[in-house]
Amino acid sequence: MNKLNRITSILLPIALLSSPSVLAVDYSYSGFMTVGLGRVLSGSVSGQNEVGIDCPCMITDYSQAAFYEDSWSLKPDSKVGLQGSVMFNEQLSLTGQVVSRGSRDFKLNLEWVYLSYQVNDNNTVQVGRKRLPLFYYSEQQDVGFTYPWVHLPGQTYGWEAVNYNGLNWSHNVQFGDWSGIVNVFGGSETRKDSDYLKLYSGLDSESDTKWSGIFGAEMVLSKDWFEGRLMVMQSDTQGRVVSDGEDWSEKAMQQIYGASALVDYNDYLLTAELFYSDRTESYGRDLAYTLSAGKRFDGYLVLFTHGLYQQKIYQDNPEEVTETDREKHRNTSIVVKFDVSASSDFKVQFEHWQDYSGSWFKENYGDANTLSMAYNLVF
Amino acid sequence: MNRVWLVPMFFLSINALAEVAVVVHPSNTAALNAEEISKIYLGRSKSFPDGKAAIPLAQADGTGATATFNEKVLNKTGSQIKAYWSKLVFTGKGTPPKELGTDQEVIELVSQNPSVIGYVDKSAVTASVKVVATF
Repeated sequence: MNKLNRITSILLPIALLSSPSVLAVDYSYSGFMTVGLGRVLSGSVSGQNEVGIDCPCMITDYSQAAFYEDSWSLKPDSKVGLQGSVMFNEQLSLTGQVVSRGSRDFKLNLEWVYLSYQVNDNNTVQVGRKRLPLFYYSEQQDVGFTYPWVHLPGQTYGWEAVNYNGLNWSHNVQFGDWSGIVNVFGGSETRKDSDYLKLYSGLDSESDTKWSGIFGAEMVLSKDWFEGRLMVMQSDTQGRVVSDGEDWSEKAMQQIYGASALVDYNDYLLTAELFYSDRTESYGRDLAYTLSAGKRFDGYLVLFTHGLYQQKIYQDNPEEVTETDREKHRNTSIVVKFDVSASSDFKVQFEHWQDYSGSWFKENYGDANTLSMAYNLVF
Repeated sequence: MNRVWLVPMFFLSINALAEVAVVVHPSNTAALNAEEISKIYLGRSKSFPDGKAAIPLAQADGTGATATFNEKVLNKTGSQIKAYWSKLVFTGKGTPPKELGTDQEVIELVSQNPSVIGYVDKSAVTASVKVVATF
């Protein structure tokens, strides 16, 4: 909560000074909840791995170090979030969102707090702490009710930075029958005691990661039953293993590209997400995709998904990463989503993780078959 | 025999109640089709085709008018609409239309403001508003 206090202490006075009529404030609040349960049914690794996870095991959310082990657990997917907004006038508002998640022992964590200024009907400027819009579902990743899976496909949604502190400008666009949004963002993110890195360095380890000079843009266009999205961003990355007494590594630039397409036509649902990153200054490059196809029936949806993540390790790379550390895996899943009410659902998901990584990842995570289910609610 | 006829009459009455009228202020001259209305209600357009500002009003979940409007105009179920707006609300990208509780409240607000657009059960329409489409 210290981070929340620090950011709100900056944003709140700005909002109050900018508001001509402080007494005319209006408030709203909303929230979301996921109660998730699951376990790994079988897998290629058994016993406790080097990281400290009881295997067979499967990672479900890299950024929060969420994983299922070989016994039933509520922790990996369960979370509850609350969002409150204060509208100072029709143009200016302050929004904060805190999330308590099982993977972090239900400690409160600040995910969003930002000041929003609506310049006019088509332009909005926001400053503060927000989600990094890397992929189509990135910004809504905590709100399980808004996507079809129990958890987002880890092959695409698996990065060390998911938030940033900075500024963004969004602009609504219209091209004939097409409507959409262009969003330009910039800022930085320092993740102290990164959960993501615990999945590699050990659950008891402490590592920091930093993305500085983040600058990127996304464009989303939709028409009737089609929605498409393009994203590009770059930043410098640094890391350090605090528990080994390391200093920050040299800055290494990364460039990330994403493309998504969604078709929702006559109860048939198709989605495709492609991802490519250039991390030549670190170790090489990454490629990932997620493809899904499903059909909506009366009150429920059946969806098949297949995803791939693979690293290409360059020879003589600056971080001296070897083929042993290379990561490559596929995940195939089927999920059935039942509409419980207009604002709640229940999902059951079975997934098969096939590992083709170098020896380290294969020996510590490997293949897995996992069953999970979740009740999702928004309020 | 009476019971035999009661069943179809019941469904006929439901269908009649479920027909909705999209209404605007009488001074509003905008011509609107289902696609344009859908854009306004999904937050993809902030104005009428003539360029004037548009403020959509919805009705609470569970009303017959909302169910029909969602299905016939927005081509989505109530659950899909809720998921759509939840995404925008929790990512700071939009705010759903204000929800009112009754047809009468919608008609009252529409009749007072040329920028407002609403939908009501067709049988609730009064002379104080203008019907631009029925579904």
